[in-house]
Amino acid sequence: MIHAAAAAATGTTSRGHSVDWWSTAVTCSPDHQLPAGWSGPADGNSSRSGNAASSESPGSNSFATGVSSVTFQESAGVPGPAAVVPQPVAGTFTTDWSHPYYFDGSGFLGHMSSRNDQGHMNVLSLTSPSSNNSPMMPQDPHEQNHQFLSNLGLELLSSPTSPSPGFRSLLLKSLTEPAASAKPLSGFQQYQQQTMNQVPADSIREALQFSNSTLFWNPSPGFGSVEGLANLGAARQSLGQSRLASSRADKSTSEGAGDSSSVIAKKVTPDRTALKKARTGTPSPLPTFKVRKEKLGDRITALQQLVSPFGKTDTASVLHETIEYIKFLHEQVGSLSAPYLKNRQQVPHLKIVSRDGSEAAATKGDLTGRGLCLVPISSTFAVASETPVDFWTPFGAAFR
Amino acid sequence: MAVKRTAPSPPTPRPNPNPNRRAPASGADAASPSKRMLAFHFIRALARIHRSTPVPRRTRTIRRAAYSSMARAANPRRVWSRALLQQMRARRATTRRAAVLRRSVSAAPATPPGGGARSIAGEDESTTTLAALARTAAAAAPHRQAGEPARADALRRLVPGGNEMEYSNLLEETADYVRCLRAQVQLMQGLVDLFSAGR
Repeated sequence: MIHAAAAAATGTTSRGHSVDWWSTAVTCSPDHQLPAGWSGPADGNSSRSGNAASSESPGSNSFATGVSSVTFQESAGVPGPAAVVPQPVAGTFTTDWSHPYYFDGSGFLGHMSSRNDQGHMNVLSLTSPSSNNSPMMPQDPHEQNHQFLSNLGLELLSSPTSPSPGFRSLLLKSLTEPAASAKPLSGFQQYQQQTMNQVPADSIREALQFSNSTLFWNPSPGFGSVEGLANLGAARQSLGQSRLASSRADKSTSEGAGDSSSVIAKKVTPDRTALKKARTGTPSPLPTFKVRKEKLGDRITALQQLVSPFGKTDTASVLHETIEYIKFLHEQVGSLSAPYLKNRQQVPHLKIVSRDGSEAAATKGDLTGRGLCLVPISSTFAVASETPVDFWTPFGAAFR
Repeated sequence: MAVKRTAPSPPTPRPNPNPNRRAPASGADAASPSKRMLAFHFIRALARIHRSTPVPRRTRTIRRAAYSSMARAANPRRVWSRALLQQMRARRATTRRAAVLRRSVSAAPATPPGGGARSIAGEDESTTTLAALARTAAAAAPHRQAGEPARADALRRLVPGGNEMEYSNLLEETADYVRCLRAQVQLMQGLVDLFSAGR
């Protein structure tokens, strides 16, 4: 919920691609299930979340307003509301934010069950409801993440250990950082500056610990969580190597944003330069030939795992298997797209033309349709004989 | 996403909510499109077919719908999906022009040479474009790399758009194509089972 609402605001940023889907996913649910109480789109956020999905959901925009007061995802010109963190608003977040997610899950499951109840003849009429539900459909694998997030947010928000309002909003901020991209970091630094005046340093350290924990459960590379948290300095140690490039890119853009007067920014710059030094310290790329060979080898291995996991691993056999497999799959598609008639009188053969044996073929078609096949009579003698011991040697009279 | 047309004219596709598609894939390790996306596109195409197409040629149409929906559900950054959709479009264009030509020729054998020439020119244009494509493709890619085995051209023929790719890209595209194909076949098999289980 927090992520998605923040994502609605950062929909246009380049880093926020993966969370675009989240925003659309959430924007659907508030439409259907959110209790009345959300009204009026936010101007600041409606300009930001300009994607098509948000146009159909004013509820999500007002959703984002509630969030924006805590997470300044607006353009650089509006740091005002970022500074103001009303204490009572944080309190109201707990109940209101949990709602859409739980409704979301139940609503989606409700949709699924209602769909399954209809007969299979109605599958074809799924086009219209499926088009409505398609934004919700891909939610299922991510539902767990959503609920985890909301649970985490609830725990943190309702935690009695938070000493001050600033800290709570800072927690919210650190939680919403996963969707933050480079641009809002300038506002973030401003906010840091302000909260630094209010909040003691140990609460920030606590926030860092929380942010460290949020990093661990969230393995998806699409989340920009790393960039924002990296600016806090200590969180950067938990960054994986794979995220160095993305964090570096974002840090360079935040440098361009130019709000380096805050304490945090001062902390960041030595870290940034150190990071860049470490980056350039890596050895220059291997000679291209070797790199190419390794890439080819990796790809052949990937193909082999895909096509024949228990087969040979050399290039020639893998390629051979792949070719055969693709041909087989093409044939499967062709035969599956052939109509299945009731009496199996006419299974259209794409290539086979048997004019002489057409009768025989027709009868064979009937039999196979019923799960039967033709068998010479001689082999039925053993089966028809009395002794049950011979059941397992039907064709081997000589085996006696 | 550009508006791409399968058999009859589709509605404009909305921004795709597919998480796999939205992933900023620089190292493009995207898995095959989720089963739901494949199902969505395929069922939508099927619904359109059953409304508009007569029975005799339905097998071919269904097969084409399967490939088109698979290509549409797949990551548009993939070369094979774009090439496949282009192929479908070109094939539809040629059949349409050929049908028009046949109709015009059969209906009025005494049509003025202008109309006949126009339609013939249209058909020639489409066939020449296809032939030209094939020629350029064949000429441009004899052997991309020295280390490329001989089997690679068979692979290039099988994978759509494989003629212009380099060997390493070809392997990558093949892997993705196989994954998508496999998912599509599983989907179709599941549908068939679903519909034939009600006997």
